[in-house]
Amino acid sequence: MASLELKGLKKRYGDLQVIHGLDLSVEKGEFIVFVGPSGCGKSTALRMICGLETLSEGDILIGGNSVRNVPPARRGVAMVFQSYALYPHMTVAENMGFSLRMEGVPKAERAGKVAEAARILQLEELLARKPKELSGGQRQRVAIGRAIVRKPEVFLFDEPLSNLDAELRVQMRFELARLHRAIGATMIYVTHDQVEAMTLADRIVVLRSGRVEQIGTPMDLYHRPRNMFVAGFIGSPKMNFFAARVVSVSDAGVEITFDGLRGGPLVLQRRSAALAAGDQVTLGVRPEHLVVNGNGAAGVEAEVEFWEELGSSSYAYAPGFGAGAVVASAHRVPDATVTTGLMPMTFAAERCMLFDAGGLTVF
Amino acid sequence: MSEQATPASARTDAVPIDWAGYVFVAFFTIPFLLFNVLPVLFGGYVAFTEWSIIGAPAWVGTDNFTAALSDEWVRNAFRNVLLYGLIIVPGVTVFGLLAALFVNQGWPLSAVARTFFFAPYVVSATVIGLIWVWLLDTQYGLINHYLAYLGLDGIPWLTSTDWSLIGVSIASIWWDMGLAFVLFLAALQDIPRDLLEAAKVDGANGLKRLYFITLPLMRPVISMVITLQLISTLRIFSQVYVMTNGGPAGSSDSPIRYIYESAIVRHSFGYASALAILLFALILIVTFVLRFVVRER
Repeated sequence: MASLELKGLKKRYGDLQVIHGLDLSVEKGEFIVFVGPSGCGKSTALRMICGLETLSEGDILIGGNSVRNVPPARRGVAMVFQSYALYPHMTVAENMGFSLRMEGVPKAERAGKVAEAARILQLEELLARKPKELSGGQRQRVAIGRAIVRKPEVFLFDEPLSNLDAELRVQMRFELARLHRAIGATMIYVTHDQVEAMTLADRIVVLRSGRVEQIGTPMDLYHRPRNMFVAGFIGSPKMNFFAARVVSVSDAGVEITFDGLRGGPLVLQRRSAALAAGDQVTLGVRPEHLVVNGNGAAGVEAEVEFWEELGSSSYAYAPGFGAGAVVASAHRVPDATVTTGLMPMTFAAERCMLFDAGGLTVF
Repeated sequence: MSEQATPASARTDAVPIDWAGYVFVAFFTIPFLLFNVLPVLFGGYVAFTEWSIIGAPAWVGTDNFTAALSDEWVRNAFRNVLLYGLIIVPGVTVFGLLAALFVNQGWPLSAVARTFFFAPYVVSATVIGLIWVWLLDTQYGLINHYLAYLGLDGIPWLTSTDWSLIGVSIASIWWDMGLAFVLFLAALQDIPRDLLEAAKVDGANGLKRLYFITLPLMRPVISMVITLQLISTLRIFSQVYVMTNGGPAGSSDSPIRYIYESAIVRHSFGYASALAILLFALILIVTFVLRFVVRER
């Protein structure tokens, strides 16, 4: 039995529909990440699961039972808010034990459960402090502790790391992954950061304008995106797109060309019955498959304006290529004095993707 | 000392005084000194004199204070003002909070309710007093009219020694509630929505959210409203003057009204000043006690 099921979830505010039918079945212990750009409806969906937003249509089942008309506290969920939402006038221990106090759990039992959660999150030393006396990371752990104490069926996280600095974010990401493994609970996590989604999720739900674009494992989404939106959203730096035209389709593969292509036409050695010569398509190439001074036969020549050096890899940015920017990779940055200017980049043709005129993935 | 003193006129790093700044400040400072500070100091002096505004004040030492402490009307006025405080301060705080909680729900007609609750505050106390004299009239008043519908006898709100202080208090609560209401409403709207939602997820119903989250977070504002209202109530005058003139038999009298009568009607400015100093001392003591009781923990 699924731990959480969303059935045809819809949300309307007057005439504005923000969720257009969300279906999802989450297994017990699964870590699901809702990801998408601002305004895609991911936080609204999470709040609907929590019970903080009403449903316009559809149903939510937790542990097999409909919770459509069940108040948040009795749904078996706990939520970690983006702002942490710690009660500023209460100590850490009081914050963590508040839900138990509301349930009428005796003081001694409450203290035991709070101590247990504090031990898991290494908060024992902080129990007597007030939230204003804690650092961002400590507050975050208290917010998670408040959720753990309730032993919920489903944990809900609403962009919990977005207020932390980069270093702490990486650390907390690791701690969240470890916590998930330790307690094995079902977790639903909302973020707009695709790196968080890729690193934490068992499965990712990509949302756009209230619609599910794709549901799959991080590697599924990376290697087999369903459409251009998912291909562009997952991966950093994002995928390069080139508006192209099919030259020929044969058993040998698909031949395409576009303005600015060098050494072309580009032959993609994969079959597609859906394409015909003359079709408008979009070529998608991830930066790691577009190599500066690479060995490929076909490629482009673009005006590189600056490099992003990450140590293990480097990315060249050519913002003025055709209609958009091109980002390519290199194993080694050339001498700083010769890194800008017109530079050849070649495709790893076997890793390129093709999208039809409607933006759906051909291969 | 080997260094030679440099003449002031030869110093190049001396900052010239910008008199324009003093001129700007003077527009406030001079009237403040003339009309606030000087009268207060003069009042302090007059309290130790006998003076009827004509002629020079005659020094009488602490006679005015001794007389005030043994004056039955003074004791009555000070006892009344403490009773006013016990009725009006909780009344304004509780009703102001309830009104703010109601408007904060954002129900239909909230904007109308907001205007309704705040409007009395912008009307002068004299107008409020006159409206309530009519509303509380024993024979023709609206309040007694409605009480009659409930089968209750009319209450002599402003004409009985038992009820006059309560009658004036009701009008004062209605008048003063406006400020408390807007302060509470601002504080309520300042509470992050996430906190209340977190409490909801934690299982707190509406009343528990109010008790465990909202009220503790509003503690500084509640403390401020109580303090301001207490000071305002200890200085109650206009409503008393317009509605009952302190009567009947001094049952609704207040220190400021008695000070007014001593100074303006009986021309005992020395005695009135001594009463004002005693009232000032009372306000100081009560405020310090209150700040201690409701201090931030």
